[in-house]
Amino acid sequence: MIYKNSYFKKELRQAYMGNKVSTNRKMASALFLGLFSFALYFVVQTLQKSVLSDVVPEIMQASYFSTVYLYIHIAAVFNIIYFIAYYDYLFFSEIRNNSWYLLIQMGYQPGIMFIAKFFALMYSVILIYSVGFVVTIILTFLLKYTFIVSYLPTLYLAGLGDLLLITILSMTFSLYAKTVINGRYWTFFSAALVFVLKITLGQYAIISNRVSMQNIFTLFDVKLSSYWPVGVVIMMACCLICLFRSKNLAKYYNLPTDAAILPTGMELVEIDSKTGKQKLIGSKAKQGWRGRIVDTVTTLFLIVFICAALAFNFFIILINASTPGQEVTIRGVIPFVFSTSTMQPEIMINDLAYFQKIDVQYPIKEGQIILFEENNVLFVERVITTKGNQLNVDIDNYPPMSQIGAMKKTVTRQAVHGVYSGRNRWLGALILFANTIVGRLLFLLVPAVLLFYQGQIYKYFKKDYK
Amino acid sequence: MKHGPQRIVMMEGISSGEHFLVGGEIPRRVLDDITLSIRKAEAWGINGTSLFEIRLLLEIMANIRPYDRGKCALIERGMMRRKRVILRHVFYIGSSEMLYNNMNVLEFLMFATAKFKIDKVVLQEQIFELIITIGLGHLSLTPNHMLTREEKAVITLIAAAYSDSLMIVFNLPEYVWDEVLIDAIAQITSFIRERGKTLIIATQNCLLIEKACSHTAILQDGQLIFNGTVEDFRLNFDKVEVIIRDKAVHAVREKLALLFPAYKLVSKDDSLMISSIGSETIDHGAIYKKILESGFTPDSIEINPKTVENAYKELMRQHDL
Repeated sequence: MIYKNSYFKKELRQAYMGNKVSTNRKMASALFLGLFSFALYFVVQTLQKSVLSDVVPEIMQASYFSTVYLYIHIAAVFNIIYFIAYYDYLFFSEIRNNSWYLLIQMGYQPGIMFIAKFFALMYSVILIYSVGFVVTIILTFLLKYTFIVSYLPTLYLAGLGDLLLITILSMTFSLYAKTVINGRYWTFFSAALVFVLKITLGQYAIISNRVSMQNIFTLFDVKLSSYWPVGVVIMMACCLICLFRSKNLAKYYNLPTDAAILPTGMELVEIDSKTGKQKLIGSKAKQGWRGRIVDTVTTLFLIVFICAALAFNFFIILINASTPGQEVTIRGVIPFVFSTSTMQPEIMINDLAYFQKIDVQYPIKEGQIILFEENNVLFVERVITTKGNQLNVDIDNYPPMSQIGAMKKTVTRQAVHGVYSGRNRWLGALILFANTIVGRLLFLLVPAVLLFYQGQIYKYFKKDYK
Repeated sequence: MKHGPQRIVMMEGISSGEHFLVGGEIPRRVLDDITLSIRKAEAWGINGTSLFEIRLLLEIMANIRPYDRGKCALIERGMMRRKRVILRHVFYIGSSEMLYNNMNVLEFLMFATAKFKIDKVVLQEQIFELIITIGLGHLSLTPNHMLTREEKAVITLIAAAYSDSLMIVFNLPEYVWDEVLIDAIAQITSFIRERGKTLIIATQNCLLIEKACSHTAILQDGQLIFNGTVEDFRLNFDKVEVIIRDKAVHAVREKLALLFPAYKLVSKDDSLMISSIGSETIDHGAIYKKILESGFTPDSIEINPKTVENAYKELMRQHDL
């Protein structure tokens, strides 16, 4: 086999050992993205009756719009993770490693290398995104939803624009990041920046609207959002910065640190022979403090995440274990996942409602919502009238076709366990999710895996720091 | 190449701006008053007690770091004011991270030399043959990410050998070389010198200097205490003439000392080293004869081949005194 790699071909390979392997992996990634988006769509559908339907209706609908909308976001997240994981192959850290120095010495031109790198990365991003997009549409086709073509090109462009912006921003930042770990942080920061831009410039309001997205020109309407003009300006500026900065960086040999070979107990100072001023430029004693910070932060993050996930699981098990007469109370509060719409709009379906545990002396007023027990079943209803030890209660919302007043009850004061004190819609949705198979896996399996592989995780971060 | 510049490096009284500071002591220049001349097609091994001093000297030589005092000229062209800038005539290797980890060794070398106007089939054949000749055939299809840093450095040196740079600076004094890699470097050095280029190696490995270099320079406390050919260095500083090996060598040491009053006898483990004190020519045959005449028949007697390592130790001993 005769090796005839050009720089462009080498860049197309990204982190893989062969061009064919790389292309296969890209296709597999695209397929995975499509399948993952499709699967996530089904997971989201299990949370249909939760706060998500009010906050992000665009991902809850039975339409191509929702699956594709999910896909364009999943693609962005995947690319960020991919960029962070393979940072040293995709971006300009090779200049810092002096790989370009070697190539320039061997006759390569830095300007051409930049252009090749830029187009190879953009091509790979577009290829994976486009194939994944098509896969998502084909999979959605199986659901037999009404196929509306008009919003698909708009969604495609919206997702592609974000990806290209994240890519070029990450490329630009990589020219300024001196270490790989910093470069990875900057890549994450690029994605966060694009996300913030989209929110502040009103881009989300446009792309979340299924009707307006049917017109491709809505995307570029400056009156609605200046995201695209701003994005294009940023991209052009970044391209120019990348070109000049990469050429400029490539002119110089990048000096690795000398810390390892400095004699122990000695400090290295630079003395200006004219002024006599001393400047400390190296000391072995000071080495390693950054590494220790990285270690500490990683350890703390892992501990916090594992503890939070386990605590959350414990909390869910407690709530699920609540039975009439043996309700779980946390500091005098009974958490209760409300699974009907009978108290709407005060308490929505699948909200996590809090009830203050009370004793028999507690004065219950009319209009309060109470948690009471009847025939070993817990009910939540509003107090209509009070008469001594007797409370007349009823629900707020009768479902359509049901008989109004059917749920009116008279309960004794002793049967009341708690008084409604508030609710949390997001926690309710989270508990709902945690009770699904995917939720169980995420909240139980991920901490377990992290605990098991903590050693490898430390090593990974340490290697990055070095 | 025949009529190209002959003087590759000319250093006169070079002193570094960097100083070592120990506690409250007066700062000491890392390098002080270095004068060195390196000519075309020579291979220099720079050795010394401090890794940092060796590295800094080569960095100054390659225009990577500035110097405070003195004069320095590269390839008879003077020195660039801007430091670290890429110079076509200087190929500097200061780390082993230049390789791409998603390629194998042969593929990387082909990629590095892709701009050469040579038929790719012929070029690959040449490179492959070179890799085999230098004894690294087993690495030719190994992915770069599986190589040790020393192996990576040698692969980088091969790429440098193919470049058009007249001077290659191999500045990795902290690297530990095994015999296979030392032989490989020695072979690459021959290849480099055949092409009329100069190689400067920073190392504390005396065997590497002995096998690969034509010249050596030794640094101690920031000053050059020797510079010249490896041959001169070995012959002048390795004073051990004969090595006697025997389990009972300690018992006969006193007796032999009386036999050789004009020599210095040092015993170590089961060996006794007979070293000359002056600089006069030694008759090894006479020493051998005297030992046998004394009635002592050791397990082995050998004429010391004069190594760079012994010479280095002797030089250091002289300077410590």
